[in-house]
Amino acid sequence: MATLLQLVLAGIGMGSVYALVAIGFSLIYKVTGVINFAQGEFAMIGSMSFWLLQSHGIPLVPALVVAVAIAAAVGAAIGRFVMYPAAQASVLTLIFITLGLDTALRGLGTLVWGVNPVAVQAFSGNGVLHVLGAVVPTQNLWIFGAVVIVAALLYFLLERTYFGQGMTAAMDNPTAARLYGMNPLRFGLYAWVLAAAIGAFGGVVFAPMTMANTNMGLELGLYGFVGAILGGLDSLPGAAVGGIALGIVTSLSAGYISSDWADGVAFAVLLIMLLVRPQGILGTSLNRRV
Amino acid sequence: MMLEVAGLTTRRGRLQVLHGCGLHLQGSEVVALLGPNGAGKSTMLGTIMGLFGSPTGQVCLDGSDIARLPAYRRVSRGVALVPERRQIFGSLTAEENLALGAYHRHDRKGLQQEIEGMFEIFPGLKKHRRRAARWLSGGEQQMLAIGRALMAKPQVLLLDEPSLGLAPRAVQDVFETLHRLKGEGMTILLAEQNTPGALELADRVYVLQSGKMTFEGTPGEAGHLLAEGYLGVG
Repeated sequence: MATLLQLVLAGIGMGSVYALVAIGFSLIYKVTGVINFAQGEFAMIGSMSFWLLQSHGIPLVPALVVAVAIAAAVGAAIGRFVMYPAAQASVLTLIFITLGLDTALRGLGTLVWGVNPVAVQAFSGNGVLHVLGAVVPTQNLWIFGAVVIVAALLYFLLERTYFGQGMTAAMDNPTAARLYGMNPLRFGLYAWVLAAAIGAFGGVVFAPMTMANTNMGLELGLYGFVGAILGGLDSLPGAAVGGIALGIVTSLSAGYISSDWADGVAFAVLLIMLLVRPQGILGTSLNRRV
Repeated sequence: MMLEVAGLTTRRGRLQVLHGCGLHLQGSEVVALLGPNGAGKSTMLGTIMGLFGSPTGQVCLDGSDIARLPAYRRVSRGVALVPERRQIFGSLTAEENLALGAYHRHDRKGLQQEIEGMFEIFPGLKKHRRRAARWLSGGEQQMLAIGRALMAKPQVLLLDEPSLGLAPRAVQDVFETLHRLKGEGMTILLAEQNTPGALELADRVYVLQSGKMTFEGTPGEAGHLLAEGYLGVG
């Protein structure tokens, strides 16, 4: 029983990171129709920027804010100088552009930060909490807290502000949104900035859990993508739920079967989900999107 | 001239839908655009709004050509479309749908009062103000779509088949609303398949067939020709 709880709690921690990456996938997909395969690199940029700032003795909060801002600036640059000029291209072309971006960002990251893994300090020391016999690193609380903060901020932005309602409307019905003065390209740019910032936030809180390195984005991106599909690509809460669910599944399979099998089980779950419920846990039916 | 459209040659995909179409509306005039399914009525309204591009022709609103503006900038020039099949924001509440009609406006002071004003015009929507709009009935959604367009404060209101797929009672409500807007002096261009309702409302009628304007005249003449089967509509 204690093992089960231990694995589930560890899974929630890891899954929260996937959830943050998945929310970025979902956001860009909903606003622009593009699946951004460079999404994991924002987490890498966040992690590595945070490490660099931290190693120069910058305190936690400013380092976190600046690391997220750096990634947001990269997201803005991609939105403005890559996706905006290509806006007339087909969605498939844009998706291939993001594949290229993924490689480019990883290469740039390697140029800036090198190839060696780096150790990032945990936010509140290396302490652990004991929960009913399970051991939880305190960093896991920060990770889970990050998801809660991001979810609350996104909810406030999209549901409680007039501008955000406009953005929600544009995701809901792009044609009607254009008829009523909403500029889809501008919303697309904001989606890139938001997705980059959220992904980077995930990367920053995740960095102390492992050795951060410039290749970490690929795996995080892949797991975030699977999480987003599991939860329903066109649902933001779905992306969060899917990411956390994926974290729990991989943690359980690593614990009970073998850590070698964790990836296999994750993709098996994805396959089963696509066969049984292709729209994902919280997504709406695929054939509604023409 | 409030709205003057000339020489539209819009294509959709590889198909040329409009073959040099034009029309014009005076201020406070109500004009019906009739024609069979697939004649190009929706394409024409969509071209006026910039949803589809026409390589040639003009769309002049109050004397200035808006044909090269992107769609999202046209509503602020004073033209709003109630699109075919309503196209409301289904996941947003009725109240949010109305509020977003004013999205293009810089001056949104008193927005809440304007929304209350819409609920007075469309009392049936008031009880649904906090419900996601997708759960409203077809007639209610149509009223919501018209209300959203009015929130944009257009000089010219375009409507694309507002009676399509509605129950008879709801169709009656739609036409009552349009009669009231006409009484208030609104300039309206109405694309319709419900010929009797449209003829009763309109000051002037165009008939569009296979992408060409085949008739322009009074509702009386149009009704006569339609009854004789000359126009192949209705």
